[in-house]
Amino acid sequence: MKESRRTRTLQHGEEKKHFQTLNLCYAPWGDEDEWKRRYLEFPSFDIAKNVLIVEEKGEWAGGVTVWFREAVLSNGKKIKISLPGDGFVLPAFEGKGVFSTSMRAANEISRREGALLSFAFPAVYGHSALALSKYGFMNVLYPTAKVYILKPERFLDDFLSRTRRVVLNERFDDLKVKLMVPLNRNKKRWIERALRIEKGEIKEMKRNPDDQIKYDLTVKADVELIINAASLFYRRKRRLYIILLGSLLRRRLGLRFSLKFLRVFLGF
Amino acid sequence: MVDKIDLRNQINQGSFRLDVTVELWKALYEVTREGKPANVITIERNGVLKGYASYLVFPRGQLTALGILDMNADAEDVLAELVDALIERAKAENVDILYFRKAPSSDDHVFDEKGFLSFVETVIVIALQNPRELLNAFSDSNVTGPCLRLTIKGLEPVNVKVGKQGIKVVLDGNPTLEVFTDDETFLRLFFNQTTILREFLKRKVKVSNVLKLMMAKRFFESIKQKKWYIPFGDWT
Repeated sequence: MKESRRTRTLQHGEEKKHFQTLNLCYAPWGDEDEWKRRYLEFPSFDIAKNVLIVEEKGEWAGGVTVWFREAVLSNGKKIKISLPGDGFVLPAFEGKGVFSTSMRAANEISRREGALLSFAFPAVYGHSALALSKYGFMNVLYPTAKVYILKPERFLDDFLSRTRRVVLNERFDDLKVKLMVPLNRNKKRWIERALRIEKGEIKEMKRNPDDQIKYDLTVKADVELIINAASLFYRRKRRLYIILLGSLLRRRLGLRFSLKFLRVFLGF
Repeated sequence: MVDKIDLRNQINQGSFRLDVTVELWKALYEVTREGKPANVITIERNGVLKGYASYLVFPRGQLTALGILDMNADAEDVLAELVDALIERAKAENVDILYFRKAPSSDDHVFDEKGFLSFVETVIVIALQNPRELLNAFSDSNVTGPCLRLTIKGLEPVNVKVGKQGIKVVLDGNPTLEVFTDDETFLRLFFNQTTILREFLKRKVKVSNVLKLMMAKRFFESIKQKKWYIPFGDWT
């Protein structure tokens, strides 16, 4: 660890700064009531013990919070567990090992307080679930999300904005992709989005695709399939290909691609 | 609220779950907001609580979501009624989505029939902080039997006696079988996400004597958590 870096607990009087920092890093994290619920009203929780701040030359660089609970085992016995969460790294300190410092400190405090297991709840797409394995957090349980969508367009835009962090191989460069998602089960109304992929990253998303453009890939798929594919992308690629193939055969997935895309996909 | 905690414990008896006290219930589930209706929907039959759902409206990325913090029902028709009531609340709150994260279970079709989509978007990652003390929670001083040494990569080995009735953690003992694995495989076996045979074939579990593989199986059977219940409200 750098000498200029130190980890300490949050001090009373810094509550507002912590709340504002979470909202800055998560954009948005939540409102003040939510912060109070999780940080002030939570039983046996003390911000001066459970909230860790990583400082670099006296300046806040990141942090993490550790909640403690009791878990009931199948035999009825209770054990202490910890729940690290709300980890943050301020933009100026990204990529400098601040997250590592936070997680190591969270593990230390968990063991010191007698936690036998620690639980965290990252998203399956993106890097966080993979990054946490460096600190002993292993993918073990997969909850099913049951989602009832009231506003499909907003849901899709939010999903796409989050999956911008999905990184493909760099050979997927300079590709234009059109995504067509049915609004309802009878597929009479569609939402369309245009994506631009540059060096393996989704760089741009447009709400109204320009039909004059020649797209390298046009994908027709429902939201459920798109999200499941994104979630399998990092953890079970073989299963992803089986699902995609099955969806193509059942006409749940429609693909139209250019020769350029095929060449890139096959790696020629 | 005691009746809701009782119902939750009754329905999820035998599952690995987080304990809820009255204080925790208030902080995690029964969240009151000024000018907003109560965030808990209950269903009673003849004055007896049959089901409840606790929810919260909050930002989720760029969206406003009505997230179900906890929901338990003692019958499928009660669950269907709760889901209908939640959809109505979601419409009244003008949110973008209504969502619930749950362990896969036999009542999943109730959600599917109401038009919910299903997908895996989060994973519960678990770190093993102290395997000896974890095994101690299953230790029964009356157990007698041969000794097994469990070595989880990077951690101190633990000796356990494996009997027909369970296990007993011992400090010494002459192990007749050594089992080697890693923390991920151990946790997946512990939470019933895989089987000893599968992991043995994948060489994720190694034993010093293949003829005693059944002893290792009995050990993992003794500590296995067959089901788990960690609703969204417990995610703090």
